[in-house]
Amino acid sequence: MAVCVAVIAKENYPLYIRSVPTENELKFHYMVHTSLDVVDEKISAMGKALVDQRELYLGLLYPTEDYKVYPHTWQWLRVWGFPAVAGLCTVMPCLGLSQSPRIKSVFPNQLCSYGYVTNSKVKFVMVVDSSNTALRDNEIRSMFRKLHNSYTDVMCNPFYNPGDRIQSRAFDGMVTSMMIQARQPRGSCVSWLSLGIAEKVWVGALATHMGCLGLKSTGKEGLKGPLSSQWPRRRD
Amino acid sequence: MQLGPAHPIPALCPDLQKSSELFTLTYGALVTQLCKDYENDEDVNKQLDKMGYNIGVRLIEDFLARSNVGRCHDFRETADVIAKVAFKMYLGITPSITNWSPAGDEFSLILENNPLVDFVELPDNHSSLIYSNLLCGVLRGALEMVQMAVEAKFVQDTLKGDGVTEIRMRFIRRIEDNLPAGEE
Repeated sequence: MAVCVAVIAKENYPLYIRSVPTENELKFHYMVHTSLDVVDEKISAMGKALVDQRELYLGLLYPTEDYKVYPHTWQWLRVWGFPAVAGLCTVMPCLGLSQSPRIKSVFPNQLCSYGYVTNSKVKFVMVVDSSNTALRDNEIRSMFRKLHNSYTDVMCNPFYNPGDRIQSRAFDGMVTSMMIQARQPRGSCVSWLSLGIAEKVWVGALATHMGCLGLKSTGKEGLKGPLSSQWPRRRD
Repeated sequence: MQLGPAHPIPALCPDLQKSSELFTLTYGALVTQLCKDYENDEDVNKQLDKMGYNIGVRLIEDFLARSNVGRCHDFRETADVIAKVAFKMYLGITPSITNWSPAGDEFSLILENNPLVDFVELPDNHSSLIYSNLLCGVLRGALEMVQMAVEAKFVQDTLKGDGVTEIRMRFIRRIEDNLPAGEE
């Protein structure tokens, strides 16, 4: 589903922008900003045809592939307080095993941005995560329709001044319903594959065990410390 | 060549549904303008009530002429006429009547959906604004013209997060016609 929704005014400043997850908001802001160029290009290219057909939906603007680094299985096992694993974690860097690039849980994340422009030149841009589900064009179109209707209601609110930032609760709620709430990091299984054979036996069993208990990895924030700084990290 | 309209002029609002958005937006513009003109919400509420009163004292004539309702014998009958005839005629909704006081001088009009607030979201800095206060004024003004002094006020409002909109009506007294001395 959508990971970022933006409403852009006629003069190309944002009326509303929201994204999940919130930690790399800036990346989405850049992405939306870049999309605007494509929107402008598409509008001028279609020119008259756009007006004639009354087609507001612009379709796919551009796809990007970025890579997500999810926290390492080893580390969250350590965080969750398994002394044996913690011990192993301390030993591992000494043996030079963790320096292997394969150990990182990296996997591609396909993001696509879609555009929609109203006749009053207000633009809607939506960034969609299509790495696990390929959304059909029709679905995107209906999502934009919903967004447009909701935007119309915001405009009809007498307390809203056209051109202001949108702070409507109803609009916010509608956007939330279009966004995924929390994506499960699929780190555990991917890193499981990327681990070496010897570690696989140990950690694999533990990871499945943890998975059964419904425990989640804690995210990048929980990994500060002298030990974790030794792990190879990918900068994004 | 014949002058004049080719087609008969259609009625101004042939369908209430069609004009309801215009009506809602007009009312919204009115309230926001009042909010700009007056410093605090209390003054806006008072002003809305006053405007409503002025509408009510005129509207009652139109209502009586068009609806053919006769004189009400008690307050319950009045409540019924307000909900089932007046609200239906002018707003296209039929509020329900509940919460009668034991003495029969107070009741509540429950509005499931209020056409005045269709798109409205109250901003945080207008928390004490009674957005639809005009309705209270209309009810007060109209009933005053038929010798009933009432008090109407909002006790619940969907804009403030309540499930329904509730107008509480209280009968105060009958207004006796004070005829000038010497006339019968």
